[in-house]
Amino acid sequence: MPPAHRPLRHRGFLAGAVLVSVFAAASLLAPVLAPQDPHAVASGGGATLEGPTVGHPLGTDALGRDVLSRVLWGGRVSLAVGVGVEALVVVLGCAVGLLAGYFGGAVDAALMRVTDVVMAFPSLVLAIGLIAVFERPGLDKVFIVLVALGWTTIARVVRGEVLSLKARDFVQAARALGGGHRAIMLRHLLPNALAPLLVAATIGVGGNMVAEAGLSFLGLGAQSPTISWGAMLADGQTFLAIAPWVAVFPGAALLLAVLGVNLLGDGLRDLLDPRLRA
Amino acid sequence: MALLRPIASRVVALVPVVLGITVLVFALNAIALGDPARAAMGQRADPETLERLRREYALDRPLPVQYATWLGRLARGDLGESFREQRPVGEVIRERLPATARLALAATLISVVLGVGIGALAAVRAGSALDHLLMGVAVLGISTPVFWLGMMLALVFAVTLGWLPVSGYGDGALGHLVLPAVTLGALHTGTVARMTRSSLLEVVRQDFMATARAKGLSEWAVLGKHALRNALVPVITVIGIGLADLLVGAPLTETVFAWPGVGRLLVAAVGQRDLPVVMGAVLVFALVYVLGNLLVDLAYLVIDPRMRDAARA
Amino acid sequence: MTRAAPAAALLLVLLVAALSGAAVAARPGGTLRMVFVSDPPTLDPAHATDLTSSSIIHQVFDALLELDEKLVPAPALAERWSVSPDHRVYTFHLRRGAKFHNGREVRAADVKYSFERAARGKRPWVFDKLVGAREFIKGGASEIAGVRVVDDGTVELRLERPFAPFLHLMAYDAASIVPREETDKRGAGFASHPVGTGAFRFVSWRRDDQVVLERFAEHFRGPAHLERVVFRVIPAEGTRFNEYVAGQLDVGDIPTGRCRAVQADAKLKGDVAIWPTLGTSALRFNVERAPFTDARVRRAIAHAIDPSIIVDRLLEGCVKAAQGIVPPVLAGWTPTATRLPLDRARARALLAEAGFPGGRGLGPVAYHFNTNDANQRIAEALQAQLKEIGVTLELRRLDWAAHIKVVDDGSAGFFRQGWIADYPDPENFLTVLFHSRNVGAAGNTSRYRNPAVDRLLDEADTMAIGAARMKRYEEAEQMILDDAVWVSLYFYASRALIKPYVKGLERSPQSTAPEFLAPLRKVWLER
Repeated sequence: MPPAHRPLRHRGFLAGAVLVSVFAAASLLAPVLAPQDPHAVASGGGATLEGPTVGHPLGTDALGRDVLSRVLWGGRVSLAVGVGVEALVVVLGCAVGLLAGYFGGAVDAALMRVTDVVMAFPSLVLAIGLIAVFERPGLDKVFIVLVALGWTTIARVVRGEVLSLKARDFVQAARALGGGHRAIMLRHLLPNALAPLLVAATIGVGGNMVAEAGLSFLGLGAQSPTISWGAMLADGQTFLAIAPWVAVFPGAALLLAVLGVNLLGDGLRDLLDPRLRA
Repeated sequence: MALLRPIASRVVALVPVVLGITVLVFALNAIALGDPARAAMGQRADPETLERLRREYALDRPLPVQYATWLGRLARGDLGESFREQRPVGEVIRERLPATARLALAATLISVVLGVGIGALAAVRAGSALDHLLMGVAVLGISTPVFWLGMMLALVFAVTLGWLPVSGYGDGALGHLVLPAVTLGALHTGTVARMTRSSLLEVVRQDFMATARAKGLSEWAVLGKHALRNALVPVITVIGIGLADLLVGAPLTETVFAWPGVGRLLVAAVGQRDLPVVMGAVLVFALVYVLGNLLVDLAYLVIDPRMRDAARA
Repeated sequence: MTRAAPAAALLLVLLVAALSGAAVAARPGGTLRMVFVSDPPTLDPAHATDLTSSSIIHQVFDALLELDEKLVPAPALAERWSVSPDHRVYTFHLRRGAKFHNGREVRAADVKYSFERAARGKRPWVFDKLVGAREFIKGGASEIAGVRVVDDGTVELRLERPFAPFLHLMAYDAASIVPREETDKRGAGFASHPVGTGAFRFVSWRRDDQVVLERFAEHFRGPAHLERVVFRVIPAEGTRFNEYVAGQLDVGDIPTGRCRAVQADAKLKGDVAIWPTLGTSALRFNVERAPFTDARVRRAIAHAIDPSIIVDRLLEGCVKAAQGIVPPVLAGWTPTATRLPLDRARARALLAEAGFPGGRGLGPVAYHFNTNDANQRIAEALQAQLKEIGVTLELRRLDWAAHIKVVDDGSAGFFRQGWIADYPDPENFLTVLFHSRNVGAAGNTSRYRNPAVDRLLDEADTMAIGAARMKRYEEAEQMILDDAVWVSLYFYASRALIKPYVKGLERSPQSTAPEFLAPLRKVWLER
């Protein structure tokens, strides 16, 4: 029998939880854990593009900065973007999904058209275009872009749940009991949609982190002195052949963080949704 | 035919979506920093030439007028002229469409075949070490940056082993298609694999599967004849969604492998503020995405008419 | 020794002589495979504005003159020329029998047609020194009065004022000679299928993929050695490098950050070619934007910048640190100028004097640069350096179109500037970049207006070539540097990889790898 209602027995969930905790702890404690100042540029005879040594366990980059410290600090940006963007996405997505599913008809059609437009839009172009609009690229613009693009999945998930609840006469019963629209949506529909919502949101966090890295890779994200894994990847990829550690470590960190979040999400899905247990 | 009305209504629904996309892109380009006339000049630009170019590009008209002009031309099948090359946009895009089409089809084929294969294998051996390994590989595929994967594959198979060409179109030779298609397909293989696995497992649980097993059919027969057909629906969904992944991954893959496609054209055009080309290319992408979804919807209808509404959610 | 020995020795000597002679003589045939970073937007000399297009145009077309390896004007379609004593009238005598690729002979009328056509293109500045050019460009005249067809083989050009680098302009690719019947017949299609007089004729162009040229047997210098030239278009530098290593390219460039590694690599070090080019990388201030209106703030920042970490570390010593504005490789130039030296104490003192002690009150200073790996690292290095005097640098990384816009329209106060010479003369650096009449997109993005500098430049621009002229430019250069309008970082260098069997490829200071402006008719393959 598969690992049913026992979270601690579900290997994926456990692995995910461990990874995520390590990631969160390391990021939050970066100021304490980082051995060096992540911005300290090598001056004079300092070493640039040096491999892992005792003084620099993960090596140094082209400007002689300590890779380990930068990886730790970079996690904060990933954490902030991953969770922060998803929080906003959930709010926006739930609103759209609830309204569309509950009211149906013209409201639904209009909102779904908008959703279609956003989903069909080549997101790379949107990202490049949006950033070209802003004279000052930066982390705040990354938030705007990712939220603007990311709400559609949550909206669809929530709408789907609402539709199926409607089909089960759930709404009619609530109305009969005298609930207003807002009360029904917030107190009855939303809590029932919580399970798939949570799963989608958890996986969304991973997607946001990869997207932020991608945007930073294109130079459209956090600007120095803010440190981000994506920017480190971009910087390091020119040296892959001669100094691979500059890109490999932030890449591995990103991979593990995203893996952890995805495992967590998959595990949650298995545990919360009886129909989809693997 | 019973299918005619649903098809027709879906096609009609496409129009506002595509139009909406074009408005968005136009607005973005219009407010983006940077001037197509200046971008078309080199390191120095005298004011008179800039003025003349701006007039040629009709950049001095108000924005809604520019968009309306573009729309009017579009209705006549004219996509305008590229600022940078001073050639019809239709020509510019047409030259590059075949390359992107081949790449996209090959990548989809690879991701479907590999993805379904990996997913099925993992489902059959659910819970085992192999299952975890395969799903780990799938997540890796999703999280690996396309750019990186392409470079790594080229380094191993082209430079070191010399089995395949490093880059380029090579007049359509199949060998040139392999690495770019695998790179582009890798991202989506992971998603297809996970989706196949989870939907196969769901189907396996259902009662009729137990009945089939009780009849004494082997695991593979059970999976093959019964499970796969029912599991197909979510897989088709994922293939449809995969179009979006393809469209996003194509520019990067085309850049790494010097593949002369529309994705690369689009990114370059945005960088040069070549508005007519951007609009034309985005239109193509949007149409592909939207038509792809249409085909997916139609596939649902063909496979299972009951799923008409559930599928939309 | 028998009598046969001296004969044998003689035979041996002759054999050796014959073999070494054969090794030196150029061998005909073969295809040269070169590479570009991006697809050329056009192959029409009148409309091209970028190096990629120019590289191809140089092979497919000829101009009246061409620049040799030392960048001295030499005969091309013009066999000989004479200049009037007042340096305002140039008479060119065309070579007899030079043919276009369609078989027709070149006539003086072609020169007039080509110039007038190009003057209305994207590089009118090449022609606006000619009498009547400005009116013609504006549309007020139907021809350029200063271009006169004397007879089929002679054309006379009149200038408004003497201009010492005029002969260099006549070697510029915008001044290529084009056949009217082909431009008329093809119209806009001429840009996709150029026809000229060059040593190579156009064969095909698969966009974003490759351009193919083949030898033109009836070229006036005789057929080129190479049979074909293929230019591939590969935007990713890692891929270009991989193709070169895999042997699929004969000429390539060295990816960013790998200069030292490639020079240390046993298999590649023999292929490495690094030579100085006519370009400078610098930081510029917009003097109309606070706080850079105050020269003390500018000087303070200049004194806080140490280019050595940029040159030695980031760029691995493969470029040269710059003191002045004009690169020393320019013929006839004596680099005398000195930049404001690294002196943090002085920087702090100047800041305090300007009212911003320790950087307080200055606020974050925005630094604009265009998207590029090297630029990003340089920006981060600058951030760290300026922090030492209390100045917080806020990085504004924009793609090129956006960057050039904020620079041209004056919204950027402190930004990165790279400048590559259009022709090898100090006028192309100093007057274009700092004269008050060029404020804005025309080149003076510092919006610098110094009457003393203007005067020196005006004088020098019209003087005859010589030491006195150069002296004026040198004086102007030092004034500009002292005013801290421009902070030089380094001079550009081409970093190419050239296979050992490629012979005769010139390394002129105008070629920036992988786009070479060298005449490929001189190249042959030894295999």
